[in-house]
Amino acid sequence: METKIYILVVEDEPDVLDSIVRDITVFEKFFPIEMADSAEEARELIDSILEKDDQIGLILCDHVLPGDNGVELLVEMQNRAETEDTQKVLITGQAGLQETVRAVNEADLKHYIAKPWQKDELTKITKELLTDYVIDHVEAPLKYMQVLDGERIAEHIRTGRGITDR
Amino acid sequence: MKFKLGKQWIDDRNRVVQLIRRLFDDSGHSERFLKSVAEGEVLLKEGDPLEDIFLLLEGSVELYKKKPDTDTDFPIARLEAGSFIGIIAFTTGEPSLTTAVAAAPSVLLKIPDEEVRSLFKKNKQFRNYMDELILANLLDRFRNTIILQIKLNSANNKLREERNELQKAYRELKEAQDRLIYQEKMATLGQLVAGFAHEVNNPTASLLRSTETLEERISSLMLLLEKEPDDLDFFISLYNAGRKAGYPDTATLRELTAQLKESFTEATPAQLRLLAQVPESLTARLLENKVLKGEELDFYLNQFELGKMFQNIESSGNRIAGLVKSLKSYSRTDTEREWEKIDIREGIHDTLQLTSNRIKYYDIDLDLPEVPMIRANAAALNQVWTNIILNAADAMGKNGSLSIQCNNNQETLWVEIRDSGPGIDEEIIERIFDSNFSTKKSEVKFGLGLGLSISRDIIHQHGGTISAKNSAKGGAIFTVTLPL
Repeated sequence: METKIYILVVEDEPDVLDSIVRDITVFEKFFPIEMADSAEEARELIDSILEKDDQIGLILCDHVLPGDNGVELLVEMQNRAETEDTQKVLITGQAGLQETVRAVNEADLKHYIAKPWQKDELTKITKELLTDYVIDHVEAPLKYMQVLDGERIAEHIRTGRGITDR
Repeated sequence: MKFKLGKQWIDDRNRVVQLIRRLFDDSGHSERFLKSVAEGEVLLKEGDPLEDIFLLLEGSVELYKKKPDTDTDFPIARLEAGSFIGIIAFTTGEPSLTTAVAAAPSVLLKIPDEEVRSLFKKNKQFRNYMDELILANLLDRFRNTIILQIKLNSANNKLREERNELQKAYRELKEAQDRLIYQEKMATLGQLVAGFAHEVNNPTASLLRSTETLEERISSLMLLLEKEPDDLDFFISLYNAGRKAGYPDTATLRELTAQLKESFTEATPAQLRLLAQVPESLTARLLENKVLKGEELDFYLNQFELGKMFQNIESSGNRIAGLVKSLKSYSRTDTEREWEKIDIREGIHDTLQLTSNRIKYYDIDLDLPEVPMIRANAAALNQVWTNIILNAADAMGKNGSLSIQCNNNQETLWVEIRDSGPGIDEEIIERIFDSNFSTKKSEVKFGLGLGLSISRDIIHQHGGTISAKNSAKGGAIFTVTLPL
């Protein structure tokens, strides 16, 4: 079976979680979405996704969570080989400067989205980051063009990097 | 100061001098050595080699010492009858250390140095007398040194006391200033909060009212849909179900979605997620009607989602309104008077509401039975609850438990706040209510390390007490008492 690339959303408030997922449903045709309401549940999901030899392309993570916080989860993922390349995004209203700096330095944070977010912003960032991920990790990215940045993927295929690199 | 040192003669040098004089009288030499001087006459000059020694019989002599690097002489000692002038130079052989000037018309025995030394050898009695005299004079000087030392010490002590008092006064001033800044900050913040609450209230009210109207309009539009009456009924049921649906937690949602995928095999994940929230009776009807996928399924699910969105808007709006209400009642900007009859439990609830982002994951155990109303400054008391609760949150970190109890007897009401943190170091527990005492070194956010000290002031203003101790089971316990 083909490797699936997941989007993981971690948020403890159900209505907010629901809104985030609703905003990025458009990507779900190619990138299944998994939801967790705590870092602990996220870990279990990560394990079960990796067990099936699937990948996590993007994580959208709240900072204030029960148990371990979002930044801790992201740093942990950065230190794990299979999730090091996962594109990491914080969606939060409450991460302090110190924690955000840590996320940037230790978890290679790709983006910080402040609540309340705009749908356009969220989908734009999701599209960009998934495009980056797909270009770097997928041999035949053609099928993703439909929901991602088609131009960049086409350029990538045209210059042949997609074929010769791997 | 009177020293009791040894024999009588030590205190009575004059007698010794008189004895020496008699010795000279007996030998018939006395005329040769006896010398009267007028006031102001110089006997010895500082730095000159000692040629004669002087024994003062009557009057007094002042000793002067030159101030280093200047020409000014300052008096260092006044010698009375019985003194040996030039004693240091005589005993050490060095030049005179001081300038000796008659301070009054005086009578002295002026004896050339050599003569003294030869008499010393020849006359045993003279030697004895001179020894006694030297000893007595040295003792006297020594005694003066001690007296001076004691005076110096007491002057030093006084200075130190004064310095400590000044330091204390400075500290108190600094604290008073910090307090003023803090209070000013709180006052400004209070005004900002009042303004903010007011500004947020209007759009929130408008949001909620518009939603209500919007919902009415949409309901009447739904009735215009060209559908079978029976189906319309189903439609409305879906909408109403959405209006009341709660959110399942993510694990349950995953489980339900997986189950539903068996019946709705071709539905998208997004559709399955919505279906998972639809009541079972209604999903059964969808299955019955073979509405299983695609746009047709969306058509029905949209109704459910519509209801859900309305519910969302309404509950979010109410949440904002509730928070604003707590903010207003917490800061008491809606009342004119600072002091009024209040139920302290309301303030505690407001505080918990407003600190909810810090205490969200704690086990909170409230035991707040009805207590008599008291006359108090509600906003100030809220500051106290906030300080104690936020300190507990700082101590506990993310997880922990917080228990708040209140009770009363005939005269007093008390509130006890316990946490499950590490407790307070016994070494500092005495000082935590002092000004500028803070355990937060670098990360002082809003306060100046004044939180608990201001809390103590506030409670004292109410005629109450505030105290802290460690629980035997771990964690800190803060107790506030307020008179009824």
